[in-house]
Amino acid sequence: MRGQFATIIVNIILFISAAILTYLFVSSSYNSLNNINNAAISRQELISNKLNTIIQIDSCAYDNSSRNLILYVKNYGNTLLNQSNTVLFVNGYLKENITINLVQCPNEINIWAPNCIISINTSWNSNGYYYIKVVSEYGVDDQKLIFVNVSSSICLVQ
Amino acid sequence: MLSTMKADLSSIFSSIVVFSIFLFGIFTIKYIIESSYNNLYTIGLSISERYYEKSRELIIFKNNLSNYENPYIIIQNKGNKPEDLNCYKLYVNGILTNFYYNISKLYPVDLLLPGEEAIIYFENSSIRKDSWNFVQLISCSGTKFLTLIYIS
Repeated sequence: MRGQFATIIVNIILFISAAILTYLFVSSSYNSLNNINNAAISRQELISNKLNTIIQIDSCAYDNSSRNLILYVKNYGNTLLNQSNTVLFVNGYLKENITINLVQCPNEINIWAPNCIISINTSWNSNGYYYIKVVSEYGVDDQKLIFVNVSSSICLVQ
Repeated sequence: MLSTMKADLSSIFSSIVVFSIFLFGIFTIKYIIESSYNNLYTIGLSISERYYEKSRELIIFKNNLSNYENPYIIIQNKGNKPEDLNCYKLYVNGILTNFYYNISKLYPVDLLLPGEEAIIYFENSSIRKDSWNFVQLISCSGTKFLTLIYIS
């Protein structure tokens, strides 16, 4: 009788231990699954933002008087962008000392809104073909090959 | 007897653990596949919509001569999509230029409908006189239409 009672107690203890361990495992697994799910949702939102953010280098011009190259970049997406977070790369190198201005924006707010154009001005004094890349928020970018002829004040986007 | 019960308990316990691991694996794979599918679907839809809009746009230029005092360019919508010229952008010699337009309306709406013509009058600030000028007209969705026009 005492032996059977002891067995029942041992079984109960083992069962409770198994239940606690299973609960711990399931709850930690659930947390991990939840984290994976949240990460997937965040990634999808990021991709969606990236897809809804389209910028395009529309045109470029060379101003012979100020020796500046002017790039016109338009926001074709439907997200608001901060123009000050825009950077310019020329042949892969970061171009510093650029001036960004909003041009022909349909609204009065000082932000790079959809259908709004920014002009990027940078000093320039060399001829030839260059790969330029404009990178904005969410990592959205546009890369174009441009041809610059300083003496003729010509800049063409290929 | 006790050892048999212990073995039973341990097999129950291990089967619960294994089943939990199996469920965890299944749900993980489900989330990954669902997420990848949703991403691909969103990307595909966005790209197809963008290119569909662009493929329906076609603007042709009807003149290649104009004058410095009142420069203009005549365009015709040869695509199969109405165009809103309000959001079009005009670049003359690469420089963003202000313009206004006048549509020869065949149908009373303010859009440039397929087949209709419009005259675009633009500023002469960036024009090179007695020379060929490079004109770019860029649509609302970013399609470029390029031409040269001689301004005397």
